Amino acid sequence: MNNEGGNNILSDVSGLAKFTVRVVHHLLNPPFENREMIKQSYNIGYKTLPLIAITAFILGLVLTLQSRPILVDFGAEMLLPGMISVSIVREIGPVVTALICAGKIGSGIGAELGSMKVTEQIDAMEVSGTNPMKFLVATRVLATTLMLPILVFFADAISFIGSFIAVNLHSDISVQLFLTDAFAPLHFYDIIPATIKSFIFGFAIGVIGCYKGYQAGFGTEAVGRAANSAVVVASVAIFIIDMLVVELQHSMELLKF
Amino acid sequence: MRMTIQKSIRLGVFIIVGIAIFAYAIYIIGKQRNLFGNTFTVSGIFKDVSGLKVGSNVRYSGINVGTVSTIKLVNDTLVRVQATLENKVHPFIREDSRMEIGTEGVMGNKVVNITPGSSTQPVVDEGDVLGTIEAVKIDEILEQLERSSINTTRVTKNLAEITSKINQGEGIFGKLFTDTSFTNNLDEISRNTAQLTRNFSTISGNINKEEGVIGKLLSDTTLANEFDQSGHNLLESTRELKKITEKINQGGGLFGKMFTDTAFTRSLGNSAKNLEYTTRQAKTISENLANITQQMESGRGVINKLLTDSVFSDSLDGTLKNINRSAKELDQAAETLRKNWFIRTFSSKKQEQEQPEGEEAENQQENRGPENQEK
Amino acid sequence: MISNPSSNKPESAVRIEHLKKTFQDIPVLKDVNLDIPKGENAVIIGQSGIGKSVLIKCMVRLIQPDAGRVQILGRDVTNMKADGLNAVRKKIGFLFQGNALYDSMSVRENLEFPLVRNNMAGTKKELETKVIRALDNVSLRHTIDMMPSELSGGMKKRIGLARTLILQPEIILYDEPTTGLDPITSKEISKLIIDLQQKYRTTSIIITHDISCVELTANTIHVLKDGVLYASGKFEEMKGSKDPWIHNFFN
Ligand SMILES: Nc1ncnc2c1ncn2[C@@H]1O[C@H](COP(=O)(O)OP(=O)(O)OP(=O)(O)O)[C@@H](O)[C@H]1O
Ligand SMILES: [Mg+2]
Repeated sequence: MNNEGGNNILSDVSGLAKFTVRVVHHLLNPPFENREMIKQSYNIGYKTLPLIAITAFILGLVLTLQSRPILVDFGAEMLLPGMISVSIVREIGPVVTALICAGKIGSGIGAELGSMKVTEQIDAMEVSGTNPMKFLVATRVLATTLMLPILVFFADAISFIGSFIAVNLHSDISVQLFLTDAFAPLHFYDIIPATIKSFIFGFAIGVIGCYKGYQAGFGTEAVGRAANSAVVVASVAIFIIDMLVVELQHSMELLKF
Repeated sequence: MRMTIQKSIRLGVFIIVGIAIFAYAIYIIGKQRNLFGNTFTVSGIFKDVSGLKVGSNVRYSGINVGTVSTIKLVNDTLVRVQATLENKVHPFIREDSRMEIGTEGVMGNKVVNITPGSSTQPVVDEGDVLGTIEAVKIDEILEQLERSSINTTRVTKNLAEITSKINQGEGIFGKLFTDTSFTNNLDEISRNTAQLTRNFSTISGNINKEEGVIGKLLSDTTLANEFDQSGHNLLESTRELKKITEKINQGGGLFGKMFTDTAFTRSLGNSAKNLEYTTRQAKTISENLANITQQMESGRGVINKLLTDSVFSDSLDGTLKNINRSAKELDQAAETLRKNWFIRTFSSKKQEQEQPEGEEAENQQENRGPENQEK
Repeated sequence: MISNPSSNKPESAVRIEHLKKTFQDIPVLKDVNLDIPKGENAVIIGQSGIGKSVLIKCMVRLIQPDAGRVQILGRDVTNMKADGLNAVRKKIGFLFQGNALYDSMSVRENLEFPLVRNNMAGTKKELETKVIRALDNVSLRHTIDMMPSELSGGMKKRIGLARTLILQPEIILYDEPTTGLDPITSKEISKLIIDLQQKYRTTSIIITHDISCVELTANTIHVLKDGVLYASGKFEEMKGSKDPWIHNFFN
């Protein structure tokens, strides 16, 4: 764990896998650091909300404005809310929220743990009778895992508001009708996999941020590198997970129907 | 950073609102898909569900009242579709309500429509099997239509040719102008023929639509056969008429005939009248058939009806027989016409073989001519 | 120098046998044997990068040695499980070379942390008292609600010291306690170390390059060189040593 050798992708992946197993072990086995978890949830969830809100609002607005012309060409403007809602709920909401969180939370965790590692704070915790894997890592991973879906719910809801406003720039539609139209094409098999996906995204962001922080070598430079590669690896991971989940979801839909 | 009470409250609110958003979405979707509240189920058996899916909407009078909950193959030809409906529509679903697979919008999401039953019928019970209306297979109808329209165009073309020939031949004009009743007759006949063709296509469409149900549920092959037979007969007659028309077209020496042979003209008039009569009859019958079909469609619980009400099936039987008879009559008329023409041919065959054909053809042409002109 | 395990003296605070540690094919500790009796102030000196910090981290198992044994207060910690290890660590104070103050926590929280984590916080009032007393020890009571980033380097060092002492450990490991401090504060810290030894019979292991600190505190001096314990002795012995390296170091 004191190895710095993160240059090689394969050793990075295997290191990450081992780290993940350790994290899961600590997540499942008491004692749990509940206070720290709540504190991290506050930092990760509540404090990220404004950023998510702004982004989601603009996203809903812009997505609607950009999608509108093609639907108008087809004379299917009334499908606009439904189309937007499906793309937001299924894909854009979770993925964009996760990417933003990878940027903000992932780098934050990477830098924080990285600097704690470099300045021996992690060692200090360990000699103070505290398992840093539990106190620092498990709490953060659990917090990101639980907060990300909630951020996604907010993102979805707020981008609906943006979309509603965008729809109303060109036509006059009541909130009620917008919601009816937006919810009409939504199924549980839109929302449930998207939510499961959000949990996985959150978990990945937390684990990768912590891993990169934990891997940090020596010196302040290492902190920057940890933060940076946490964002990069987490972002790539999000896309890979997304692809896998969508693939899985489709094959399950085929099996079911 | 210390976790103050204020921060804890903020975090709590954040989580609660987030979960409330999720719960709201789940509730709305669940309400749309009727997963909450009291529901009941009914099912129907289809030959073909045309891409209906679990979760597809079920409508009653155009209102979403539930969703398709299961789709199962019963055997190699039948599919059982179960729908879960809101309890509040329960009182409106009668035992003679029927399920039909329809299409929503242009893009074609499949929906199940449940037709209202008659208020005299008892309300369905949980799990009841409703009667179904098989989806009309569009390609079959189109094929039928195409066949008729090909026939029609051919006839029309012939008529156009005839008209031009008539235009050239003066003798016949005199006849046509003076003898208005004849003209009217011709007119009438042509119109009827057209009508007949149209009716026939409707009927065959309807037959197609219903054939499955009848064949399947009654396993009465005779009835189905009769349907088939009458269709064939009608087609046959039409074809024969067409043949005659074509022959007329070929006939070159006809003009001479027409000028001189009044007997021929008279006989032509007769045949025409004959044909007209038959056509009319055929038309009535086809209307009857259409009516019956409509009745079937408007959902008189065809299964029950056909199984229990022998009067109805008898009358259906009768109608079919009538159709057959009329078709035969039509056939006969055509035959007579041909014979008439044959007599002509034989009398003049020694001189020219094609002439008689031509004559007959011209008769027909004349029959249709006015229609064509009218149009 | 190498003591027979069977003649293990009961008052041995830290006892290290044949300790080996290699980082990425570079041997840092080759074969270290060390015995520090209870109540003694032992100073470890050596060149920068020689492995002094690695050695004392091995004592608390922050670094797992490749081979050898570490005994703390008579208990072998080399392969100890987490629970036992924590019990042992509770008796050890560790002042890190870079202070290792928790950046995200205030001074108060930094001092509370070891107490809370080891279930020694007691009531709120007791906790407060303990924190203030620890701060008074290093004369920094006024910084109680400041964040580490608001403190000077020397202040951080002293807060770090206060945090190390707050559990009243039996053994204290100091990694360069006086580096970067002015001579006066430096002397105060040396006095504090002696004070603790006299009051509580605390064992101290001090890594330092500061000769005055060595002179003030050391009962025994251990020289670490080339991965082994190169020499040991009293301050005067060292000062008068003929060995060129030691001679260079002390003069
Ligand atoms: N966790 C680690 N991973 C890899 N190498 C390490 C690790 N810790 C220490 N080292 C290496 O071990 C050697 C000894 O380091 P150590 O920190 O013990 O030196 P030191 O004697 O304390 O020096 P200084 O007086 O400068 O603090 C160094 O070369 C260092 O690079
Ligand atoms: Mg050091």
